[in-house]
Amino acid sequence: MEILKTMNLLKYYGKDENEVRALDGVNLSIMKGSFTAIVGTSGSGKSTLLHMLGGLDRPTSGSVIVDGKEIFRLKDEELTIFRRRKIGFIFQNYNLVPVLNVYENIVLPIELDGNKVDESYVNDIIKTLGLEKKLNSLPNNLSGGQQQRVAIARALASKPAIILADEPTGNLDSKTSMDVMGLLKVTSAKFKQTIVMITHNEEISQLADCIIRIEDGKIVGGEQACTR
Amino acid sequence: MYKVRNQKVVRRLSFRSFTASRTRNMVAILAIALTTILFTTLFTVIISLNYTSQQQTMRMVGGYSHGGFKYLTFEQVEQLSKHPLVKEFGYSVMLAMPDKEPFTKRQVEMRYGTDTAAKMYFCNPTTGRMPREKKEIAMDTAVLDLLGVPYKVGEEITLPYTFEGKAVVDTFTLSGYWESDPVARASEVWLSKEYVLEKLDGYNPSLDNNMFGTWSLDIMFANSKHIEKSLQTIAQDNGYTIDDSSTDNFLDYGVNWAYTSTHYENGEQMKMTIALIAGLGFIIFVGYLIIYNIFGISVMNDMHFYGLLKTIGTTKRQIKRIIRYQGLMLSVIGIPIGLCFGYVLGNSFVKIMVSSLSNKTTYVTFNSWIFIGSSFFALLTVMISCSKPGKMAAKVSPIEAVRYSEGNQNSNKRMKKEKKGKHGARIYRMAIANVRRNKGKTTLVIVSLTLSLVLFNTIFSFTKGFSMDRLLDRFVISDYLLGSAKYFQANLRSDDDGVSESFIEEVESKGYTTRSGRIYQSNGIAQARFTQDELVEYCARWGGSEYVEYIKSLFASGDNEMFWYIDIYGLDDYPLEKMTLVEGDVSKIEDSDTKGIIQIVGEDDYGNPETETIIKNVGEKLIIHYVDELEYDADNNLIEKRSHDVEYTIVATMMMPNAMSTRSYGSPQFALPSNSYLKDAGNSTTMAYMLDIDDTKIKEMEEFISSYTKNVEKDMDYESKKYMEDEFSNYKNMFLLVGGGVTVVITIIGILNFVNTMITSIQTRKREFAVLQSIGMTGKQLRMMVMIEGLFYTGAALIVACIIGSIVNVVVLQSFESMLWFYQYEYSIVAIVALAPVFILLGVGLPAIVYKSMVRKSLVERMRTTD
Repeated sequence: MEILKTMNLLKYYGKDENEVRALDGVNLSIMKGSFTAIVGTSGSGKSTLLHMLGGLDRPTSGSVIVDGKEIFRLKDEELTIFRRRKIGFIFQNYNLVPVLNVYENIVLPIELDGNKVDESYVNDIIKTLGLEKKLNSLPNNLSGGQQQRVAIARALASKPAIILADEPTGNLDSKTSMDVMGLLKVTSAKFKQTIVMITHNEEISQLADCIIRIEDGKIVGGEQACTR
Repeated sequence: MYKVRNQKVVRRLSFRSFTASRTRNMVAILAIALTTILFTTLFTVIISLNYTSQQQTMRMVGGYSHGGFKYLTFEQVEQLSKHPLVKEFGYSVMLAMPDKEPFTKRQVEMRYGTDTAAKMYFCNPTTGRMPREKKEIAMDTAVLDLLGVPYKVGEEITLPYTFEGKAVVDTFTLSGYWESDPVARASEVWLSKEYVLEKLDGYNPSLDNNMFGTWSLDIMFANSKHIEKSLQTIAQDNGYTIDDSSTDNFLDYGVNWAYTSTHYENGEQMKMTIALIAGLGFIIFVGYLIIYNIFGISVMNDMHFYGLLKTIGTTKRQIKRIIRYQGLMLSVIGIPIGLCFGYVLGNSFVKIMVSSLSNKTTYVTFNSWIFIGSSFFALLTVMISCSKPGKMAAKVSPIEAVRYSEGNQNSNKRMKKEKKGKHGARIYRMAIANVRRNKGKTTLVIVSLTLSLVLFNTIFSFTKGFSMDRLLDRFVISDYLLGSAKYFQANLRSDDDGVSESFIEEVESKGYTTRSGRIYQSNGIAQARFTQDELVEYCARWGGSEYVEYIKSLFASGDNEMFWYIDIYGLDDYPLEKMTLVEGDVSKIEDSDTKGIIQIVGEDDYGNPETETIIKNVGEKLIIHYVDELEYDADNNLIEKRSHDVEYTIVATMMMPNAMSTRSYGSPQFALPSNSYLKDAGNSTTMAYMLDIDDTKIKEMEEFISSYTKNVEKDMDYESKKYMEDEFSNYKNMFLLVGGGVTVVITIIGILNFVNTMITSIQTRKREFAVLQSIGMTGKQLRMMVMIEGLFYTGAALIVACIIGSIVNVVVLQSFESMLWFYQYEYSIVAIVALAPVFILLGVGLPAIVYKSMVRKSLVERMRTTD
């Protein structure tokens, strides 16, 4: 089943001579439950693509359909709410809320939505990611790997339709990177999550089910549609 | 809309991020407290001044009851007081008003009254209690003084009075007393019910015009609105009327005019309201400048945090709410602090203001509206101030937020590479570029600082313009002016209100006098003939059309001329010299064949004659009708017994300084030389006595007269050059103190704003500075840069303040000259110039200190700090 689809996605920055085509007609389709890596060099447009997929930024033209909904038809406020329900983010720099402890960070999106936390589900995630002993710690007291595991837990907790990971291991050493990637893959499989990850690290990308290459804002290799 | 239960998490987020920024909170709490101080001070001053003047009026009226009925029988009192509209009541009955020695100078009323009535009249004993036993009595200290009885409960008191035309002397025991009120017109003496009722048994009140033996009922309603209507309702519900005095069921009533709106006539209330609104608007603006800036800076610094919340899916509304909660939490701490300090400050301002405007007592009121109003407006200011930063935080797109750093928007404009030039210039340019990174913030700080400078300068130049010369010209015609206390209160009533000869003798016996002279004047003994046109024209100035109609009606019988009361003075040479000629020739007054008289016109605030008050032309005749003796007729009305007329010719129109006039207006005024006055008027009451003294003896004389009028002849008073000078500087100091107090608070706000901006701006650039240092900028250069930045703020404020201060000077202050006669405008920005070194030092010093505290951390440490 198709969970994410883009149609002729365009994003231009600047005007006239200064025009930069960050995305230049991207069509892709991601199936539910898959683990896709988007690979490209710095400046290839992969971050822009991820921002579009997550509804963080609006495209110049084209559309993104998540879980059957064309997200850029939504108003800002609706989009924010859609995002916290349907999309989980994992960032390179973790982006945890420094004033909240680990548990509070994990359940934050759920609570922002005004929903009751599914305790057993969240506890399952916490256990799988090995965070049981750190629940009351503040993010600044955790190592990079631990912080990223909290971010993964947070992304999973709200049972989103899709998880977007932006260079999730960019700030980690190679051993920790592999650990975190392993956990990401295991948990996503266990909780039947769809993951789209961008990276410039070939070795990391090999862990994905399929790889999409992007260059100068266009998809140049890999599969247009990633099926398992 | 989504019905969500996310309040708790939003509150938690808000609270946690709140506790994380401690410096911001301290500054914000201080700012909110200061703003609240301003609000509370404003409310306290306005409400307390209002309350004080109401209390003053009540004391003058002699009671705080809302209103009441007079001339009742006891049965009526019982009947009326049962009405449901009556919330509280007291009643009393008067037995007598002793007027023989020693009570010739003080109105004393002997009454029985309930405890509530005594309280309502401000006459309840503070020591001891109201009389209970038959021969008990309670009175104020003024009456005890007159009787020569010591202030001690249990003293025997013998009281002479007249009842039913017979002299009575009775002895009582003092059961209680209270401090007499100098403002009150009469003193109450409370007797027991038993004593009074026994005396009144069989007495017919109509004997003395119902003065004695009738009951007064004083009433408090639920509130002071529609007092007259409520009285009417009570009367009607009991089958009486208060409208038609000719009917049998008429009740005489009274409304305490301390409560009525007449109190606020002449736009007083309007003025108060405008002052209040202007004050509120100004304070909101001042508070906004700083609170907005604090929140703005804090939001900008936390942009990353808000962006992050947004990527996770926090909605705009939720982010706005987070910031609003923070404002609320800061208010919860800041507002109560401000309320306490503001209340204290406001009350001391009121005391200063009341004591320099008049010598009245201040009434401190603990009116809950002061606190409700101040809290509301302080909170409103905080909410207004948070609203834009909240929107700013909410609007940030998650992408930008993640990368956001202050001033990135115009990064391309920033700091082009300086190709050549000296090294100082480059640092200077960097500093300017830094200041311009965030124009809004810079503007707010500069406006905030400018405001305090301009305000300070305005108050300073305003008080500096108070002209002692103009005051002395107007109010002081001689070194000393002696008169009775009533004369100086513009309350001349009878011949007894003149200067006592003993007072004049005592003062003269000092031997300091260089010149002196008497001003004779007598009340109500002289009338002059005027035509209808003359009177109508004259009276139109003092009264409205109703008054003119009334004057016309007096001529209805067809007479074209009639007698009208005038004020006539007799002047010694010295006072005569102080008069200013408007037209005519004064020397003719000495001609023996023409009986000359001087016509007096008023003097306006600027020393010009009020020509509208000229009633006759020079050369015209004036017939004055002097009443020599009065007597009572059978109906108890005063009538003339003996009188005579004298015909004069008006030889001159002259202007009389207000200081030597009767100090009241409304009657045509004329003056004669002393000798002819004494001969024609047959009255030798000296209204005022003017004297100049040896300049070296001013201090001794002041001490002597001041102590004499305080201790020996208490009903005498005086005005002196020195006293006026002191009064005036008091008045001036009041402006300086109150204005200065407000300015200090506003200056603190301005400086706090600057300090907060400087500290946050250096702290958030910690990393940037470290990077600059790592690429070769020296610590000295960096410090120089932040110092220039600081100087830019205070320097700009100084320059802008000079400009705006000048504009305010020219536009506002100059216009005061025509509104306040004692104000002499003079351009001045001295205050700003005087403060310049302080501001410059602050601008340079503060950044240097903040920078120093920052560099305590190592370069590497600073470079590592993210966020």
